[in-house]
Formats: sequence, structure tokens, C-alpha cells
Amino acid sequence: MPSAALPSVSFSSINHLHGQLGVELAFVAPGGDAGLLPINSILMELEDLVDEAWPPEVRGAVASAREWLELIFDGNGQFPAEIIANFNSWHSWMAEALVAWENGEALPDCLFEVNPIAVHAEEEMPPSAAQPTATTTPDLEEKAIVLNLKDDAELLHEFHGESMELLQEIEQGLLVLESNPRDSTTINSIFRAFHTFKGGAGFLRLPALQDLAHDLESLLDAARQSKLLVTTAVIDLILAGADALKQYTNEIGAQLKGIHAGEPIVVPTSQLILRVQAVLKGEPAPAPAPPAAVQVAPAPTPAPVQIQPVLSVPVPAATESAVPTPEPPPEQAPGQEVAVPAAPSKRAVAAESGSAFVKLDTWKLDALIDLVGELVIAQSMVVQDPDVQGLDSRNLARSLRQLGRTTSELQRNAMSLRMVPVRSAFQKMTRLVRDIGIQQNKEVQLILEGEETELDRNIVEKLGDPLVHMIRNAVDHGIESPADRLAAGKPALGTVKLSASHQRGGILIRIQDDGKGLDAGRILAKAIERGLVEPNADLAESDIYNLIFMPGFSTAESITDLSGRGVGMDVVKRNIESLRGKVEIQSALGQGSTFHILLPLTLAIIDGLMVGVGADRYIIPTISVRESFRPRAGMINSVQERGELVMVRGRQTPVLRLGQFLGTETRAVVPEDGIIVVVESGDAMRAILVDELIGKQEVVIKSLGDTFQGQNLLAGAAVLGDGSVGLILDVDTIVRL
Amino acid sequence: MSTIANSTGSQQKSKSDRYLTFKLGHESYGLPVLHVREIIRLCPITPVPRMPLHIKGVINLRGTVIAVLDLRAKFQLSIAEYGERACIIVVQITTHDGRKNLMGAIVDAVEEVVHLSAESIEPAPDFGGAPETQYIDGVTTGQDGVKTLLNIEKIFTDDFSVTRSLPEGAAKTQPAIGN
Repeated sequence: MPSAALPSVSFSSINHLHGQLGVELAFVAPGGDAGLLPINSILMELEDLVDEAWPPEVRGAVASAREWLELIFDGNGQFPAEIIANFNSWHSWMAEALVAWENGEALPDCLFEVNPIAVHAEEEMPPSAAQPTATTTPDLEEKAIVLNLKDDAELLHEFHGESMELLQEIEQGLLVLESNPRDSTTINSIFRAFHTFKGGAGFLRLPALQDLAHDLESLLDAARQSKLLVTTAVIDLILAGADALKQYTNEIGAQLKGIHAGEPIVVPTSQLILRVQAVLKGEPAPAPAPPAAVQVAPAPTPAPVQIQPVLSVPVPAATESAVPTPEPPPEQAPGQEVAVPAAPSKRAVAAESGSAFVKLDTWKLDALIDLVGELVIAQSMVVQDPDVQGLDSRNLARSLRQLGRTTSELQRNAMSLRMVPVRSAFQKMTRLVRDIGIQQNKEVQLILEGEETELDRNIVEKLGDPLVHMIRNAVDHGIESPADRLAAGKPALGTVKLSASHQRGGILIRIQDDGKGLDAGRILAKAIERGLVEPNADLAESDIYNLIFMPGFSTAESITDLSGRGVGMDVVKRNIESLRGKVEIQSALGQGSTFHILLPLTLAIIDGLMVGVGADRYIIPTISVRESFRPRAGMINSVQERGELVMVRGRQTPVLRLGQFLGTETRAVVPEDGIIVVVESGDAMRAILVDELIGKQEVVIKSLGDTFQGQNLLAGAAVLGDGSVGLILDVDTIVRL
Repeated sequence: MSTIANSTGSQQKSKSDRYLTFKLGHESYGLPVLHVREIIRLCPITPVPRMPLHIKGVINLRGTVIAVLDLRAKFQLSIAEYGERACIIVVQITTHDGRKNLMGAIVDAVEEVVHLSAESIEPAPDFGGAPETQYIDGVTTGQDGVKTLLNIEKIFTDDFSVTRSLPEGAAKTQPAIGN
């Protein structure tokens, strides 16, 4: 078998790692810990390469090396002499074995002691690779997996992250297949994804996952060779399988976080495996007797016969995930190699082209961005240094200008590394809409627009949950049943449109449905019934819509398992506000509703207005600043000798004397010496009296850290051009003081 | 004496180790060297308003904003100007939920790193209920007098909770209507 798979083995990388190991082993001394971490890291790289095409002896050897290292890690972290001896003979054996393997010759005999566990691992791996059905138990006993959290935590972590991406990719691919069952590129990419998943599961000795993935892979393989027609039933089956794998993976993720750590994980898969095998044997896919996986919503409960859901996946999305040509955004030119790991759809591409993308840890990215920020500050310190400025050298001036250009270019590029397309968050919604549509017998299509719009990675990640809620609501509450729609003179097929675009210096995300719209009368009645507003309250339409964002509000007459539980919209609003965004609703009864989410481009940078109060400087986010002016004598009136008001565009606005409030000495004795900055948040406004405006500046927001987590006056801090720290005021708090 | 020092198992581990000693006024203190990330010169500190007196503010440590405490103010020692040798000891501590945090402590002067055996450390003396003893791991007597060994983790984690929110009325919990 190894010979058959030879071309896929990269001997040069293995040899390279083997060589590196040799160098590190040279530094190892008995009773010392020198070389332990490098060896571990090289071994991990080697383990990443291992797949079942490798000769069992070599795989066993790698596993043995891992066991030895684990022994050291579990012990006092120092190399005992016998393990060093083992490693050395291991290394020379590997050298011979690699040569023999590459030339297709018999491997030399082992000179070192192969660990029993390593042998055990070998026993498990080959059968699944050799015979498709041998490892699946004929009876319906469910296999449980138990994680070795102590030893494999790191690997499991990687496996979890990678698997989530693979499963996402699989899901996307299946949705493409649904509209185009013969798309061989997509079939291939799904096949590869299952294959990779299986490899990872096998490596971590998770037989239950491995078996299921293997059978699904065989199914795709049959489809790939045109032996199997990809019908809706087959797609549903694969989706159900992917869901089961996802349940496992989610559980692994939970255990890694310490939830139910160490408990056996059981996901019912035997039914699924039987169904897959039946399909493989050419029998019609048996109906899923009990639903295979029910613990996680949205549960796959396919009813493939009765309904033929009309679902059209938007063409751009389909081609994006299937065709391996995603153009990196042009402004990322020097950073092209770096794909931030939040863009899973590019993964398959990365696997194919090899060098186009690099996956990297986000903390490395953040550290790089921090360092670049430091570099920019250091650069401006050099340029502004009085000694340097006193030098009359044209050469120096030119070099400094060059340095300035390069550093600011570098900074811009570093910042753009954080930006990723919203695609990943958007594409998850396709599956959601499909599932809800099927469950509720509704015909719904989801149209995606502007998926290439880029947002800060952190925002894209946190956008997922609010989007899920709002899309669910749109399909669940918004879109009517086909009969109702026809009766209302609308096409039976409902449309939910999810789009992203640049607007007002931020990103506008719109969720638009052509359903029945929000019923202001019903919302108001419900709100009154719940005691959320006074019975005789006189509210504008938009105010009534905003009631749905109140905690505990729900208008669903029947409580479904999707929405209508009274949680959701208030959480949505909170989530979006935590991203410094806003939500607005537009709706027309009978014609549909549109939710607008306005988000900042990035959480990392804000445009700030720097103000001075006494000796201190504060930054006010420009997005909240409405205007600023120097007050004339008599403009400020006091109310009850305590509150002060100033007229701003015909509206009496409360004044906050910032210096007084913060307890600092101010230079402006009377208001006329100072400046008023009018800020707003929502509908509330506040006129802040400060000593002076210092300037406008883009600043990188930094967290103030745990010491200040209890306060809400400051939104964060920023490192200023001179290296000192400026504090960013939290306008939301200030307007409500 | 050796048996006294081993009064509790959890303290024992941190007690027999190396300590960085420093001056606060005329008194000498020590903290476990394992916590010390670096020592930097006193630099301009941005004061954070409405904070307890001993939280001096924040500084920029190569791009990371860290909080700086005045240990003298924390222990309610006499207030004095910082001298020439004053500096900030940057310590790394682990919060209750396992995250690593950097914080700075202003001291009057850094002395040296000393190795103290568990036997040479006495438990914190009882000053009759003075609250600051909770921050003391023990004391040790050297040639130049008594050094007080601080439980730096406790000093800093205590401060995570001292800050408070401003009163915000009910505004934040109310809907947009009515404003």
C-alpha cells in the first residue's frame, strides 16, 4: 500500500525535519532540558506530515518518539540517558529507513525499543485505510471516544480548529452540490475535506470519527467516479454525517475548554453508517429511522421525499467556494501570503496551491501589529528629536523621509492584515436558511451580496451570532408559507437578502426579507401586555419597532424551536453595540422588513478627537462627535443652580464640565475660555466643556486591562505619537450621566 | 523555626526561592523573582481619573497598556517624591480565570536578587490586625535588616475589583424610546 501512495509523500520535508532533529539531538545532554522544546516542535511538524501512506514502521517510530518526549514532559523535564540513547538510535534508524522507503526497499530492522502504544496505534490505522467497511461494527452499538486531554491537548486543539473549517467547507460544498450535483470540483473538494478529517481523527485515535468520515469519504469517492448519483437524499445523508462529525468536534472543543472534560463522547452514528453503506451498495437510501443526531440545533431531520425545497444558492457564493481562484484584495499586496484563518472557504485552495496562503496564529498577527505600532512611534521620536532636527544634512533628511514613508506603508499593511471578508460569516447562513425552510415547509432563497467586503477579523467573528438570530427571525417570522404568499399576490418563493457594503465610513450590513413585515399594532399590544410600555403611550412607528429589542419580548404566537423564545433580539442588540455598532429597523406591513446594522470597519482603530483638560489629554471618538464650538458669554444657562444647559441647534443640551467631573484643574476659568464638544449616542446628546481641542488623530485602541474593567467612563486607551498613553472616553456613558 | 515556615503547603513552594528586593522609603521589601518580567525607568504615567489613590495610572509598555500601582500608597506609607532611583517593576500575574496580566509597581529603588531558603523565612508577624499583613508572605532577616516578602499576586488581583462603574441611571437598560 505505501508504494501506491508514494507520490503524495514529501520526502524532502521529512528529510529536512529529520536533519533538524539530528542537530537538536546533538545538544541534548543527560539530566538537562536543552533541546526539549525544539525537538518537541520538530516532532510535531513531523507528526503533522504523518499519514497512512507512510510505512507502519515509520509511523510507529514517530509515535515512539512522541511517547519518549511525553515521558520527559511528564517527568522532571530532563532527558534521562536511556531516552537520549533511544533517540540517537531512532535517528540513525530513521535515516536508513527514509532512504529505503524512498527507494521502495525493505525497511531496516528497528534498533530501538518500539513503545507498545505506538504498536497499538499501528494496529488501528491500517484497516480503515485498506478496507472500507471492515472497521464498522455490524451491530448498532455506538462507539464512544475518550479524549486524552492531558497528552493530546495541543493536537486536539489543532484538530478542533481545523475540523471546524473542514466541516464548514463540506457544508458549503454540499449546498453547491444541491444546485449542481455534477460539479466535480466541488465533489473533489468535499472528498478531500473528509479525507483530511479522517486523517486527523485517525492520528488522534478517535475511531468513531474516523469510521464515519471514512464511509462518507467512500460515498464521495463513488460520486467522484460517477458510480453514484448525487441526489437530494444523498446530500441530506452527507449533511447528516457532517453534522454528526460536527457534534463530535463541538464536544471536543467543549472538553478542551474544560466542560465535561474526560467524559466519553457518544454521538449516535451507527444508523448513519448503515445508511451510508446501504447507499454504497446501491440500495436506495433508507429513511432515517430515528433522526441520527438530535442534540444540536439545527438538527438534520431531512424529509427528502415530500418536499422539494426550492433553494437557489447564489452563483457568486457557489463559484467562490468551488473554483480555486480567490483574488486577495489588492490593497494587501505585500501581505498576500497571509490568509487570516477566519476565511475558511480559502482553505481548500490553500491545500491545492500550497504557497498562496499561510495559516498563522492570531496572536502572532496581533503581536506583529503591536510591534509595527511601536516602530512608527520610534520613527516619529527619531524624526522629532531636537538633536536630529538640528543637523543640517540633506542626506539625513532624505533618509528620514524614506523611513517615514516605509513605516507608514508598513503600518497600513499591518492593519490590513486584520481585515477579512465577511464571506465566512455570511456563508454559514445559507445552510441555516435551507434547514429552517425545510423544517417549516417554506420556500426560501438567500441572496448574498458584498461578501468580499472586509471587516476586522474580530468583528466578523462576533457577527456570527447576531446574524444567526436575525436570519432565523427573518425566515421564521418574516417569510410566510407558500400558500399565504400566493394569496397575498407574492411569489411562493420567499427571499432573504443579506448584503454588506461600505457606508458612512463603516460597514452596513442589511438583512432584508420580503415577508409580512413587522406588525406595529401587534408589537405594541404585546409590549403593553408585557408591561414594557404604558398602555396609553404615544409612540412613533420606529419606536414601536425598537420594542422588539427589549429583553423578554417575543411576538411569535407559536413557540418554535428556532425563535420565539423571547430571547434573541435583545441579545442581538447588545452584541452589536458591543462591537460599537447600531441596529435600525425599516418595515412595511405585507412587504417585508429590513434590518440595518452599521458597524465600524475595525475595532482596532478609531478616528479620535483629542481634547485637553488641564494637563491631561483625552480622546473622544469622532463618530460620536456632532460638533464643537466656543461658547459665548451667556450661552450656558443653569437650571436649579446645578444643571447647566446650552442651546445646540435649537435643542437645550445638558453641559458636562469635563475637568470638574474628572477632578482635574482646568485652565479655562469661565466657559468662554474653553470649547464645547457636542457628543451623541443614540438620541441622547451631551455638551462636554473642555479646555482646548488638540487635534484629530487615528489611534489604535488598546484595552485598559483588568484593573479598570469595573469602570465604564473610559472605552480604552491609545498609544499616542510621543509614546505616552491617551485615554478614550466612553461617550455612551457620558451622555447618560 | 523551620517548622513554622512550612505552615501551609501552598505557601511553601513560593517561599523557598529567589526574591527581587527593593526599597519603599527606608524599608526593604521582596517579591518572587518568578513574577518579575522587567524593570523599567520611571516614565510619564497617564493618570486615570476616578481611581483609588494608589492606582497611579497607565503606561505604554512597548505597545501594551499596563496599569501602574504605587506600592507606597497601597501600603499607606508616608508620601514622598520619587527619587532618582525610582523605577517600575513590571510583574506578570495570573488572574482568577487563568489569563496572564502585566502590571507595574513603582518602587523607590531596586536592590538585588537574593536566594532565600525556606528556613530563613518567618511567617508574617501579627501587628494586631493591621490590614496590610494579608499581602505579606513572610519576613526574612538579613545583614542589613528585615526584608518583608510580599505576595504580589494578592496585591494586584485585589485591585481588579476596586474600580466601580459610574452611575448610569436606568438609561442603558431602557429602550430607545422615551429618550
